[in-house]
Amino acid sequence: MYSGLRTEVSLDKQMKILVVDDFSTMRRIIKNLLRDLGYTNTAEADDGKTALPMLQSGGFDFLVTDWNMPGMTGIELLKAVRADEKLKGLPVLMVTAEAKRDQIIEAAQSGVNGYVVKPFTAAALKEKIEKIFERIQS
Amino acid sequence: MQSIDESALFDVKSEAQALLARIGSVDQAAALQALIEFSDHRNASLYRHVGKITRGLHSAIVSLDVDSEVPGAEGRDIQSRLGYVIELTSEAANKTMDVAEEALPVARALGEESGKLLEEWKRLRKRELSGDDFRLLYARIGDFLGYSVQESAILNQRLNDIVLAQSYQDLSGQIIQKTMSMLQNAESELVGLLSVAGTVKDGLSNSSNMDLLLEKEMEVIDSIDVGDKDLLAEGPLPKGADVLNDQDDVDDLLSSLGF
Repeated sequence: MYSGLRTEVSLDKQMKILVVDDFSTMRRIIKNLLRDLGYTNTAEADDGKTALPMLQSGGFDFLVTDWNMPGMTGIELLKAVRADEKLKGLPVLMVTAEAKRDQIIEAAQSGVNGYVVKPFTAAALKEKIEKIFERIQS
Repeated sequence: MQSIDESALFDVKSEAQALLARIGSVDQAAALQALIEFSDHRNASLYRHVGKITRGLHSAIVSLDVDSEVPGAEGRDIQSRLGYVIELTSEAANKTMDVAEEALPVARALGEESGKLLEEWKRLRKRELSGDDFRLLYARIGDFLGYSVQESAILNQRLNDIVLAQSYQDLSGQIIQKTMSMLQNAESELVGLLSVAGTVKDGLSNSSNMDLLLEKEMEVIDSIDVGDKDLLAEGPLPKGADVLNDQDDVDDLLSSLGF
C-alpha cells in the first residue's frame, strides 16, 4: 500500500547475516536493530557448534557473535572461521559482555573485525557495522 | 593409582603390637620411645589430613572469588555480581517505563489529531465544507503529514529503546549462570571435604583408604581451575572490577593495537 514511499534499498542490505548468542532475547534484540538499519536477511544460532555448520554450508556475508556461550564459545568460533579456507574472509563482529583487556586483545589477534561491549547502544552497533562494511568495500 | 607417601604406610596394627611388646618388657626407655614414635606417626598423618582439608577450603573460597589476595578480584565475588543484577534489572525497568511514558503522549496526540482530521474529512465527503473550511483543511492535512512523519520517527526510536533495554535479561542471565557455577564448584569441594572429615570422625583410620579419599577430593579440586583464567568467559562484571569501562575504552584499546 505504501510501497511508493519506500526509499531505495541498496544491495548491501540484502546481505545474509548470522546472529549467534545463547540468549534468545539478545538474538531478538540484535535482529530488531539490524532490521531497523535495513538488514532483514538474518538467521540465528545459539552457539558456535550450531553456527559453524550453518556458515560452512554457505551463503552468509556477515557474522555477529557473542563470546560467552556453552558448547563452543564465540572466540572459538572466530578462530574456527579464520582457520577455514572458505570462511576466513568472513567479516565478524563480536557483541559481548566480556570486557577484560586480555580478552579484547585476544579477539583482535584472532582477527575480529569489530568489538561491541554489552550493554550497547543502537548507535554503537550501527557505527561498528558501517565501519566494517566501509573497510570491506574500500 | 595415586602415590602413597611414607607416613601412609604406617601400619597401625604392627606398630601397636611392637608397642605392647615393649611395654611388657623391662626396658622402660625403649617402651617410651616406641610410644613417642607411635603418636608421632598418628600426628603426622593427622597434620597431613588437616593440611589437605585447609587447602580444599582455600580452593572453595577461591572459587567463590572472595579471596582478597587475588589481585583484581574486587567486584568479582558473588555478592557484587548479584548486586549488579539488581542494578541492571532496576535500570532496565526504569528505562522501559521512562521511554514508554515519553512515547504514550506522542501516540495519544497523533491519535487525537487524526481523529479531528477524520471528522473534517467526513464533512468534506458529505460536501458540508465551505470554500474557506476546505482551504483550512487542506493546510491542516499538509501540516499533519509533516507532523506524523516526525512523531512516528520518535515512536520508532522509543520502541527501539525499549527493545534494547531488554538486554538486561542476557546480562543478568549470564551473571546468574556464572554465580551458579561458582556455587556449584564451592559446594562440590565442601561436600568432598565433608566426606573426608566424616571418615576422620568415624575413626576409620585405615590410612590407605583415607588417602584414596583425599586424593579423589584433591583431584576434584585440582580439576576446577583449568586453562588461562584471564581468557575464560567471565560474564558481565560490575564497574570497578578489572575490566574496561565502556565502548570508548574498548575502541581506544583496539586503535592502540592498530585497529
